Amino acid sequence: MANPTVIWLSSFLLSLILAPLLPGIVNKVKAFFAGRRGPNLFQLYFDLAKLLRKEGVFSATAGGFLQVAPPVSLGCLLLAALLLPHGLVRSPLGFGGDAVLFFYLLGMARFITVLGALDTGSSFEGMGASREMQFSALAEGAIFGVIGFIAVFTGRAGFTMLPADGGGEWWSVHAVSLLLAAAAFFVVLMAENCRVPFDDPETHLELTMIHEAMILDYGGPDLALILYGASLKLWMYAMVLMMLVLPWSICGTWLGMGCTLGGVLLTAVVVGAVESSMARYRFLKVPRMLVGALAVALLGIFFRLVFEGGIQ
Amino acid sequence: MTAWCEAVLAAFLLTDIMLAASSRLLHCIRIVAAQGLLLGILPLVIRSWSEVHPDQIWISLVNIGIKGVALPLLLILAMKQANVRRELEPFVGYSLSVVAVLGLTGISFWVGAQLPPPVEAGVRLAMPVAFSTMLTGLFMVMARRKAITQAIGFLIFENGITLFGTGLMIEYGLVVELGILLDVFVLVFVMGIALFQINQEFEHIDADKLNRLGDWSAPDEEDAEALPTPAEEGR
Amino acid sequence: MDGVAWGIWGMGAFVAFLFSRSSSIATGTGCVAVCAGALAALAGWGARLTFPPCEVAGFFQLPILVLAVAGAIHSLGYLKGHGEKRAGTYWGFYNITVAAMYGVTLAGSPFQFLVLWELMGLASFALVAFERESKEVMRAAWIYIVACHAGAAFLIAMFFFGGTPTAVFVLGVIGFGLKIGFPLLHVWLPEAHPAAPAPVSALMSGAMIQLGFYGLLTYCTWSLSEYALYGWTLLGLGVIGTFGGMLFALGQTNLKKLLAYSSIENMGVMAIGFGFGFLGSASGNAGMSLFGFAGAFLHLLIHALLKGGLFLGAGSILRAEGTLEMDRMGGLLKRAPFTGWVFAMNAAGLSGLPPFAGFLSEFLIYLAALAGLTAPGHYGVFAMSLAVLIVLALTGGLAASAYVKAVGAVFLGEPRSPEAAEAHEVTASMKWVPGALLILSALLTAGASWVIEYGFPAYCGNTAGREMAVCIAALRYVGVFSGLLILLAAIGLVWRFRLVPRSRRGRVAPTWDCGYRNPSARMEYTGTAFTQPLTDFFAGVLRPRVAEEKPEGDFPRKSSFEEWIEDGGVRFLWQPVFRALAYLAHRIHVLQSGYLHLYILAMVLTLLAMLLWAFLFSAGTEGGF
Repeated sequence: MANPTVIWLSSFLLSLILAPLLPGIVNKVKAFFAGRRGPNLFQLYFDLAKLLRKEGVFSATAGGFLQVAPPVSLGCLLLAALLLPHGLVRSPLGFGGDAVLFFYLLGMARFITVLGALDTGSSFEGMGASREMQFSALAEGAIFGVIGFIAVFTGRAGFTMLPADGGGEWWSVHAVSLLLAAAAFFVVLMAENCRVPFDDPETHLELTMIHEAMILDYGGPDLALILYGASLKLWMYAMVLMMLVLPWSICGTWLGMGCTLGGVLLTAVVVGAVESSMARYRFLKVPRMLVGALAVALLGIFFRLVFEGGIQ
Repeated sequence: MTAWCEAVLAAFLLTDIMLAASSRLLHCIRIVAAQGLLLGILPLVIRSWSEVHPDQIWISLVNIGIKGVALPLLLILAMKQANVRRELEPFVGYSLSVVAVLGLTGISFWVGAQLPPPVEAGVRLAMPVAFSTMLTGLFMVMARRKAITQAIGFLIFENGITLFGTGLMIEYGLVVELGILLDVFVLVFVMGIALFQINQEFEHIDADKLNRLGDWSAPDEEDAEALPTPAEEGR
Repeated sequence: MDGVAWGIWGMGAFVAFLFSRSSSIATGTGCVAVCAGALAALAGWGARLTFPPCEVAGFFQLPILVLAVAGAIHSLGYLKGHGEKRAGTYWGFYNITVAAMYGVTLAGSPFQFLVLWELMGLASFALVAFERESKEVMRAAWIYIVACHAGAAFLIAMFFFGGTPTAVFVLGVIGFGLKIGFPLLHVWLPEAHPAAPAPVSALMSGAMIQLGFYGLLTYCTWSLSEYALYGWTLLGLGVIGTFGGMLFALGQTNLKKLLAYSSIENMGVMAIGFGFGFLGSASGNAGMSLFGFAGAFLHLLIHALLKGGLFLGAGSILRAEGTLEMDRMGGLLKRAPFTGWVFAMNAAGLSGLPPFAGFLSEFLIYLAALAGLTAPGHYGVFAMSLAVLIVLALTGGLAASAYVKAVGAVFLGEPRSPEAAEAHEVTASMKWVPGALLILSALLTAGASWVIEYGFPAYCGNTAGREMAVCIAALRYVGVFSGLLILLAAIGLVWRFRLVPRSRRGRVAPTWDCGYRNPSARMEYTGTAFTQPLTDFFAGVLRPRVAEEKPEGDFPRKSSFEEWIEDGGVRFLWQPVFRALAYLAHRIHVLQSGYLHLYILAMVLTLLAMLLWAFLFSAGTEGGF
């Protein structure tokens, strides 16, 4: 039996190293569906290395937020990674309610990024910022629906799926509610990480961009920080998804860690497949999807309570 | 047994929510078909497989045939006849509809929780879902403008009643007859839409037009709302 | 020491009124008196402090004292060149307001309380109406005074006629709710806050409206058997106030109006906290009760500091730009960087984002909601917890959006009007006071666990035990993580701007705008445009009004578009009500004929009627005359 802290730490470090792999996998899958060879799996690593060697450029209009945003937002994301259960093991720094802090740290990262975008005075960046704030405000509802689900499910307020009474085998009993919560969170994952039905990370038309429009004015090391941050964010969302779907009986073992990492990579494959098979929604339809995700998360809670026992 | 039954019921609720959120009629009709399919499957999974009577399989197949295939096809036909693709300006917006359906679901679950625990587990599970499906159907009838969406709403309502019957494991009886009655009603409804090409809401057929029906000889290809109003006639 | 404080404030007011001819004497004595009085009161506060302090009042007194001093110092710069002639009036009423507010928290009897409450309303009315040349200001001031008196009427009814605990509570919720700004009773806030001078808005929004909660907690919620009622009422009002307040804040174009609506939201958050506190006690959920109360009391302090800082910052912005219309500002960050950074950080704090203080209280209230979800039991409590969880999350997103809009429209991009282009950094007093409040809130973040551990009023009995340990641990964790975040950000910034070789550190170029060389201010996103997707999505609630002139013809000449959002409560409830009242009054106007003998007739008739009433109805009870 391995020490959980060791597993957590090694999984944490592996996450930081492997995160840039995810966009590579997604792009490879998309290329496969399109019948192309696609970019190298490690393309983002090369990009990051190249960008770090380049010179940064800042807009003359900017008053400071533009410059400050990338390091600060990456700081928020790294700190959030410290709270995440890695390899299904709860973070040694975790405490009651750490999930709330986790998502609020991501919120802070977004806040500063959006201010950085507005700092340029560019209309495109203003547009991207405006959309980002709209969608994230609605996604927040769905996210907290899932947090509520976790609380109902485990009877604890922490960022873990380990139930308070120590039970482990749930897929036989709670399959439906777990699937519902996971589905809701997957929608949030796609929306928050600017994936296709919500946003197109590869579009070249500013009018259709959301996240990409916000970072139009970055280059060099700043863009490197942002790209790395984006991949880390995707990684962390996938980790939370894994927490919802993987059985906790493998928690605290190297097998659990392997399953989690494998699951994260598999999530990237699924994301790529979904992106290849869907068209981007009209912007008017996106809020409806996010409200729908909230609805699904709440359905999960209803099912957990009424069907699978709990409330009288 | 329970897991599959639960999955079917969860899918049922999901279809309700999707129905509230979708504006494309074709999409709505597909959802109705999916519900028909689920309704057919439910009697087979509500009890363990060994307890299922062989006849039940046939009944299920017929059910799927009617509710999952025939009625949706008819609806699609009506949709094409009436030449409507999507619900453009519903009374209640889509996001709000989702929230409303969610609220109705919550209420149904609450009601379900208030009932005394029944003997059979399946009933306890199906009751709230059936109830919320009925409410969703009624909500659709109230919240949408297009005649065809309202027909879909009735169909959903009727699905809820059937689900109720299945959940209570009533083979024959009042519920089934009520269901058949509603089926016929929906059929007439849909045929009406198809024949008269009603692509708007009903309110356009106002009482004045109905009053004149007596001395009205049907023009060849005129649609119901193209009738001149008395005011126009006076001019 | 409280007597000394009142003496100083009274003398300050007296001298300020006496020397109102000379603005420098009035200003000097007024400001010194506010600060000295606050210091004396603080000394008295410290002397009264016992461990554990076990009293509610302390949480309400600290914001008053801090904001009184902050506002006074800020006023020195704010009034310079604007209405100095009336400095005597200003400082006189400022001193009286502060003294009355402090007195309200110390009042020993309902009568004292009511007198001081009324004095507080009247003195602050004079402050709201300070810029009395403006019609807008006078209108706002009248709305404020009407709300004050309506509230006082309910409070008198509560103190002297409220019999059962339920009646007392209902009357109190209306009476104090008019001060707090519960939904539908909130109408004076978005009017009076923009009209008042910024330091006064800060004092009112940060300290005065919270006093409503003081009254509610002290005078209306003493019956243990009614805790469930208190909880449900406050939770209901809180959920609506939180969501609605932020939604309307989102649609505002006037900076101080936006802040006023966000005050409604913050009061809603507090109401949710207190509601959870009562409901938790009633339903035996110790965790929910503790987290709710702790969150609400902490939010009280945090909101005072941050909102005070924001209103004072808005005052600085007004002096720098000459306007509060956000769509006419822009680019102030380069011209007034200190004010800009402080404003942005205060705004992030009130959006509830870590590492700033606002996260702490929101976090505790989230914990209260989660405690309601984890403890199985009553269906209603569960549903309410779930609703609060979702509403708080949505409101958090909306708040971030609204504050990004405020910061973005005021400080970022290019100036949108010539006045904005000529803006300048404000004087030292206006610059440093919001910064000082921000530092205080940072200290509060670090020390929140001690505040709760030693300062938590023994309100609902259980102040020890497992829940307390969890609460304190969570607050310490959040404090540590806030520190870590600041550290990480600092490391990142040092790396980026010190360690990256100078040749790659970054050069300056025009904004990349899809080929445009000179992006002009007209191309920028305005604040209204920024929040338009959200206000459109919630159009069903906000009911935005639109006035547009569409471009027509092949060579369209001019076109315009304007969208604004009116207060829902005013538009759909109070306007119709007051219109009906005005109609009624118009009808009664017939009586005012101008003939003296008719008036005498009316008097005689009234007397007769009263006599009859006295004979008929009091005969049974007291045996007649």
